[in-house]
Amino acid sequence: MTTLESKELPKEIVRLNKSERIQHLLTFVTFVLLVITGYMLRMPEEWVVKLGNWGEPVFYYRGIIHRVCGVLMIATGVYHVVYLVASKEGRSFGKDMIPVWKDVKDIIHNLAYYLGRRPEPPKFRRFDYREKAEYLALVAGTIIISVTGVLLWSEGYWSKFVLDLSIMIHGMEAILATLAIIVWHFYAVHWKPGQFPMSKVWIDGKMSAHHLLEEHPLQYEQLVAEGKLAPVDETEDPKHGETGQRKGFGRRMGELVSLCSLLFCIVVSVLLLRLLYFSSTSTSVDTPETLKTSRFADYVAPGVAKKTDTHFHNVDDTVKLVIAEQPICVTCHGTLPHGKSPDIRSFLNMHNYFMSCEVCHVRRADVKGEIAYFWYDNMTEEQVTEIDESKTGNYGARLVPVATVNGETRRLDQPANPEFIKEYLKQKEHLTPEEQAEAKVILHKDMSRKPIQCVECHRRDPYIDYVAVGYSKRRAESLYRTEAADMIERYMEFYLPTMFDPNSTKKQKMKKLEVEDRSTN
Amino acid sequence: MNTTLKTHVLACFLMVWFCVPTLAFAADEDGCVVCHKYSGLARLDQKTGQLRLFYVNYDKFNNSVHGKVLCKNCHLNLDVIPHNNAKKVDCSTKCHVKEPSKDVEFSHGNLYAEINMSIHGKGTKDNPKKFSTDMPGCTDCHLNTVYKPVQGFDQDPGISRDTLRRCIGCHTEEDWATRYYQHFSHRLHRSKTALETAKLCLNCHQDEQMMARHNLPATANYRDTFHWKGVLYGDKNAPDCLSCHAPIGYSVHSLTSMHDPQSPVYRTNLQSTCASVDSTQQCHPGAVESFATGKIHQTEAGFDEKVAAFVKGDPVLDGVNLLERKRRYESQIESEGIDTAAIDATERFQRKVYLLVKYIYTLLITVVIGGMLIHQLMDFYRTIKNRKNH
Repeated sequence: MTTLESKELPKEIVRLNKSERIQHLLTFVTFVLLVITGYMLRMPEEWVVKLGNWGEPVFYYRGIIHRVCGVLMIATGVYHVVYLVASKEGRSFGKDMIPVWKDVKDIIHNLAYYLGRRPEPPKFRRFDYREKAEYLALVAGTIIISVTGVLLWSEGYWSKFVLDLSIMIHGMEAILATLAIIVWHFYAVHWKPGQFPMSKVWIDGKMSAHHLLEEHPLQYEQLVAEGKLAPVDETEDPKHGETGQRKGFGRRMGELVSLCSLLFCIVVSVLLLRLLYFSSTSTSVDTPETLKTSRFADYVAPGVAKKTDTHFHNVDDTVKLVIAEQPICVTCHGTLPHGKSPDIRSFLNMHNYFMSCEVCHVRRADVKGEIAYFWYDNMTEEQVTEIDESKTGNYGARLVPVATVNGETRRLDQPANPEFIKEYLKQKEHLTPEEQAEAKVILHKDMSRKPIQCVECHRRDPYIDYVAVGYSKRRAESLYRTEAADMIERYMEFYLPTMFDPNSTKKQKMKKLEVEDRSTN
Repeated sequence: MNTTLKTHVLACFLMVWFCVPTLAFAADEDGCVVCHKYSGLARLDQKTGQLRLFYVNYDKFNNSVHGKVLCKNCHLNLDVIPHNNAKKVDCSTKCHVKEPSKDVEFSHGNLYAEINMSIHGKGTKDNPKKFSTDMPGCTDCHLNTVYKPVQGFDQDPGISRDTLRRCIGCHTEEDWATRYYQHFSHRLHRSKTALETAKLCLNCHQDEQMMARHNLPATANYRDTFHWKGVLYGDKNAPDCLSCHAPIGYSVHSLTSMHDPQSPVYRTNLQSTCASVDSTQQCHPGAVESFATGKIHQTEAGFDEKVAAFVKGDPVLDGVNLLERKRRYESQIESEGIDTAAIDATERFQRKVYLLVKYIYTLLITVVIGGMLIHQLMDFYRTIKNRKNH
């Protein structure tokens, strides 16, 4: 063979002609869009809910795009059939795709090669068994998914059984197709060493003689023998996949994208497998959560599961007391700690929203040093000098007693022995009841035996100087003159003469107040 | 009026005058808001541990459908503080608001009677239903809805002054006119979205334990339907529970059993319910008869559920219990003399086919993809090894 002759022979073949590339492109684009718009019906519910107002248009266009792409994919299929029948190249493509006995032998041979039992892989023709399997799977899959898709689209003509079956098969086939594309196709054309980051055949349609020799040696031999391809010169051509040159920026980017796509596809595959095996549990993320995950609600207030999320009177966020660094009292006692005195417990709880427990539970007389009261921001714990009275108790700050001893100040809501408390909370569950009781005594040692009573503050000469702590004069007056004081007075004088009467036994009082089922729900 | 009472009235007056912005609390005649405006006015029920919240956002209340109803008209026996005699709110109470068209006291009594006759009724005092506490009360579904005036393409949400102008011609008191305008415009659209409705019903109906008490299958699988997906995305044409169970022409308060021939989901009524010709939504008009056959809400412990139970560590028996429950449910239907044998035979067969296809497909995917994965891993290993040797 002279030099002139070999120059005239092409060094690469057209693996995919223009028509085949268009068919691939159409299949690729419609497939991706169909997968996205299809799985939008199976994605976790919390993602959908996050779409908010966008949900409706997204859902609308999802449906349209899915149908348009479905039609396009079917049309591509029809185009492919016409191509197979009508064109010479198509007929040759079809003929070469037909599985033959050699393919079975190739499979066994190749597996033996993988397992190290055979030194060389089998010699493949134009299409190897992998490509044939993928092609046939694509044909079968397209038919199945198209038929079920059309059935679902024309739902009014079919029985529910047919539709149920169709929707299940449509979904199953989609899972199969997506996973097959990832595991089989993407590996072969993207991630396989030698192809990484991407085979360009689908773009330019060309395959080098060298590559052909490596992957389809029988076709190579045939083309060379027919004088249609220049034989590979082992001494000239660099090894396939090892260009010998430094990798350019473009290739590095390509590799990065390809690697990312691998990770992405792994995530997608996991999600799909979850969908396949655990569909009923994976999609219903928004179940009455607490009820499903824990049996807690079964023990507490059974039967309230059906309650709507919201209070009849449309409560707002202010009912949730938010303190960035929760005071130690709240850790154990919660935000609604008062439950013993049926007559005043809700009123007492209400005070929690704007004052620390120590305001009432630590009497000034029981603490060393000078006590003053300051507002501290619930989020930053910085001192606040002014409160917005119009916000009725939701000042975003709470009143805290601060003791000054020998020039040193200490917030009374901050424990003097934080280490002990930390240790106690950590070990609480392992302590014996006796040890717990002992610890509790120490924990509460600064608490006064008798807390400040309602009337001690809500009277003309109150325990706390309201104006001094930052209330307006008018508000300060209202606290003893009108609303609170008036009500307390009404309690004592008109309705419950025994309320603060030490002579009346607690039992009597409780009996009077504990009327059966005062609930209003 | 004795002196004490005078002082009392004066105190109330002062209370309102001093402490509250007059405009906002105009309708709070009894000064309830003085205490109930505090969001912390709450406690835990000492018997059940349930949160009892006594806070009322008065701005919202004032702008709500009940904004003109005095607290004491619904919450009876509030006359002492603390309200230790307060009666449970009964929505059938006449609430002293006069209905303008008839000049009679308004009450929800008729709806109350209606729901009690329905499948959700609690039964009578002498003859209460089994597990009547499971049955929904008014406030389980209804909130004191805040007015949402009509909003359209060419209109900002709010009151159309242009429309209101026409009312004020006759109803000269603007406050009154505004309120009734809001009342009507509010009633023109649904207060709950389809998603909210579906979730509301599912609160109970996907609770397997509760449904088992009533020998009903749980309907959690509604979440697997295309209907639910549409609802989830906010498609206004997507059907929620009421679109099928209480379509136009039926009242949501008089839902009946699916075995009641009056029910819209009774098997002979299903076709017209699915067609939904009376509604503004056109669902499946012209659908063939067999389209509306079979159970929409199926329960069957499938392979996936059993595996899920196994993986989660729940006893796998749960799945079997589900089947057991279904059998119980079916035997109950039979004992009630409902002839379901004819449809059940075909349906059971169809269900078997369905499950068989599903299992075959699951197996197929497992084997095919698993095989592919093993093949590719071997290919990867061999290719790498080969390249190293070169």
